[in-house]
Amino acid sequence: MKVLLVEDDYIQEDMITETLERTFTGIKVEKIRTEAEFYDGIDRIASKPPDVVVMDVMLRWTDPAPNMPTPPDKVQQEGYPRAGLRCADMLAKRDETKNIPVILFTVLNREDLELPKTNNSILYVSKESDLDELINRVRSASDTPRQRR
Amino acid sequence: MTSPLGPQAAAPLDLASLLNTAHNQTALSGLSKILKLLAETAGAYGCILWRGADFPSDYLFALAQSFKGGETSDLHYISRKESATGAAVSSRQVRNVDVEREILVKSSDSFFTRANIKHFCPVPIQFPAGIDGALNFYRNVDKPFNEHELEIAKQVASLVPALYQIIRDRVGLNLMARVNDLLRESERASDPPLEIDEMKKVIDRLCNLIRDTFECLEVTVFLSDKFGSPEQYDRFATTWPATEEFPRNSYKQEENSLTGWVLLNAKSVRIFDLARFEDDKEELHKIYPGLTWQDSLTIKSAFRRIFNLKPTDVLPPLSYMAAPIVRGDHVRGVIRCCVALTGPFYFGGKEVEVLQLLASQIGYYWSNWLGRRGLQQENDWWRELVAEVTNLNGLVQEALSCEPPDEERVFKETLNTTRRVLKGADINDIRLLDEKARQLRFVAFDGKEWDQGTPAEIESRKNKRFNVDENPPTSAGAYVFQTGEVHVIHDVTKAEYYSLVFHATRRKIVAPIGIKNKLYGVLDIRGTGPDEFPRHAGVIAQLIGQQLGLYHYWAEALRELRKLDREQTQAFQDVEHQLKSPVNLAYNMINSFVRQDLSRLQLLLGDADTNQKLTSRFLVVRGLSRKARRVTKNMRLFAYLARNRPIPIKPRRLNAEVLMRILIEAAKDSTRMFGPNRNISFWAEPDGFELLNTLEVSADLDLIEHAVMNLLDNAGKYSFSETIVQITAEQVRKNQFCITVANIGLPIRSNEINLVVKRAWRSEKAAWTTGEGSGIGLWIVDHIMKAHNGELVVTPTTVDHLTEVRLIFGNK
Repeated sequence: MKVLLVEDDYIQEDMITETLERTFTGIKVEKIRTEAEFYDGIDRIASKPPDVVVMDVMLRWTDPAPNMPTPPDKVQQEGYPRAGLRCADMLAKRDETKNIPVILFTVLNREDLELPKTNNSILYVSKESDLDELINRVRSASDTPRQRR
Repeated sequence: MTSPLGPQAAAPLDLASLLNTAHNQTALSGLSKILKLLAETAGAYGCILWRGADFPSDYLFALAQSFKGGETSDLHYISRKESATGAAVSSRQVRNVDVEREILVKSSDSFFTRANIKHFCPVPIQFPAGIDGALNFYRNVDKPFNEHELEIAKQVASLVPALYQIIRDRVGLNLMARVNDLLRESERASDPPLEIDEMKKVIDRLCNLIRDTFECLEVTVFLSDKFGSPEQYDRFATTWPATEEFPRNSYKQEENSLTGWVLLNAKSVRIFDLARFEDDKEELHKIYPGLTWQDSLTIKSAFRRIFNLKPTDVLPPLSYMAAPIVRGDHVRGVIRCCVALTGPFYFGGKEVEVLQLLASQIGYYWSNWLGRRGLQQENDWWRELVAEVTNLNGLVQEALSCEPPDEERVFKETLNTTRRVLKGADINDIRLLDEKARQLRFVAFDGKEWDQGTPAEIESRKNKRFNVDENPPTSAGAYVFQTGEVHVIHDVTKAEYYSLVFHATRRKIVAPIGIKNKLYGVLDIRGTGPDEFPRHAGVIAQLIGQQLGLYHYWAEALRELRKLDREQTQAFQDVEHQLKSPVNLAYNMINSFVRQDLSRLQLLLGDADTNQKLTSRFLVVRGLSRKARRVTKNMRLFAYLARNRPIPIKPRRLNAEVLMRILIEAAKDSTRMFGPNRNISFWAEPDGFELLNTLEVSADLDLIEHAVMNLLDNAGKYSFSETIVQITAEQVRKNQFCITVANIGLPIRSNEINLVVKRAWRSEKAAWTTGEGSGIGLWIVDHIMKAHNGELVVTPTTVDHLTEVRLIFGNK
């Protein structure tokens, strides 16, 4: 199984990775840490799509650096609280990735996310709940058959 | 013009000279100059011009005279039936009268005796409008007029009516032109409009002009500045001698005085001689119905004093004319002239016509001035109103800034302003709605009448209530509340909706207090005096009512906001309080374990990898709980500062070892917070901190640690990857200690130095690189330093991306 983990907090990332690796034998966890990194890697993701995406919602745009890429207008307008949703949206708009289950793993309440009702690929797990719930979601998401092109 | 035949002998008639003289006259006294020329032409010592009255009368009146040497006759009227002149006028025949022999002449008359008149010849003449008269030529030598001289006398006498007309026309035209120039000149020069005193000077000059032209003693103008039907007209300007008390300073439209009659009937009046008023009354009433005049010794005594006459001397004719000053349908005043000083002694119809035209000019000028002054006054008044409301808004802002908002003061200041801007607002109050009872109740009062009476009466008055839902309404307040419109009652005795509170109330305005569709109450304004409220009183009351509505809305909103703020702060405090204990406990337990028990556990486990992992894991947990502790403390300090309270500090002498250990641990924990990818290291340099062993620096250790942690958090968030955040210490100035946190990362520009310490400020690029954070970290650090009498100093980032933030504190 290949999991794409999009998470900007290194400690969270470490803990989730360790838990996934401990639970799922042979799992490969690819890590993306910022929204800019996701935008840069979308083609690569599409060419070798993962089985499941675990997506943090509130992501920073990029790491501090002397020459940082300027965020697009939409990112500047909506801000970091909707970064993960924008990334999920990018996946949904590509044929190669539109059916990949995306588990939004966040401290935000479900109601705050305004999730589209029609998109069955978007799942939700609160960071306040036990990590077991995340594991169960990953398991069920990876077991659910999905249409592949 | 002396006769070549000697004095008092006829001379050739110089008609051109006569006409020229007549044309050049600027005053009616020019008639006397003409008579002088005529007397000389006729070879006479002097002459008197007699004329009949405008109505049937048994008398002829001396219009003008001229005698050599300035001699004057005190004979002002003679009987038609019992005088030689009357006989000549009746027969229309020139007569040659020997004073000694003529039966109809009373040679003992003082004038004949004084002037030693021997002969005179009355020549009948005809004035316009069928009025007869005579021009009498007199000689004081015993030389009767011969045929030739009589002929000349007839010729020159026949010229008199025409010459007199020429003089009157010229004088009248000249006067009107001069008055017109005077008034236009003063209008042109008056922007803004003249003040009342300046106006009086203009009318004064006008009166003097008329006086000099008509050669009369008194010219007085009475005016009113009220529109509609004024109650009285006051003396505005006069030529009455200042040495004498003015007879009467104001008149009403009435019939028991001449001037009052003119005001009442808006019609001009001309009286030949007031002394003959009773005699001529019947005839006068045919022209002026109801006209009366109170003959008064006071007036006659005044004239005697003015003319320096003895009690036995004959008074000159008390001629009188007055014209109403009218503009449109309104009588604005009256102008009157009285007592000609020199001939002509009687004001003729022409003079009255001229006076009417002058009155018309004055009416135009006065109305114009009133209008412009009214406009100016209105502009001034509106300016004052704006200033008052602006001032009121300032006072209200102060009152509402109090905790709680001082609405009582708002009401009081508003009622004071109402009294000042609305003339006649004598007893005022504010009523607010009691929502539950649906009644208006008094909440603020203005006017001493509120506190008059027994305590029970006062209380009963102030506690009176008014239902707003009654149908139909019985009080103006209820009516206004239901309609939402201002209600002006000009006469409370005739008001449909009115509930008595004060008997003295004559008129009232009730204005709604509210904004848009929300009404809070009403503003009551009561007038008790005779004058109506000013023109825009209703509009003003409405404006003030709306202002009160706004103030009330703000006061309620502020109360709500402050309540919310208190609740939020309390919630903050509560959350912080609930978190503080477990968070601090967790941190202390972890810290204690890491410091004291971790090494023993490592020994027990023995496995290097496991040990490393465990150590790392525990240090991360300590770092996380340190972060939780820092955030909790930020919340508490925020709650303090949001309520404008200073941060309380518990200073004690700082120990180098303790501080160093705290900062080194903080540095280690921070390093673990940002992950191997960013690879940001935190390093606390021990050198420098040892200064604390010699330098006595007092500070609140917890707060200093907290300040440094906030700086480290910022440094970590904004540092570039693969860099080191350094913590150093040094002594600055004499006794002050400085901790510096330096990092390589996002820039702080010079123009942002003052912004970084502002609450909730973050730079744009900072927002790109971290999601969390509310921009209060440096704001709180700044306040911690201020509480220590210290400083937070932020240095702008260098070209090498180095930023240094310094905490300076200690004894100054």
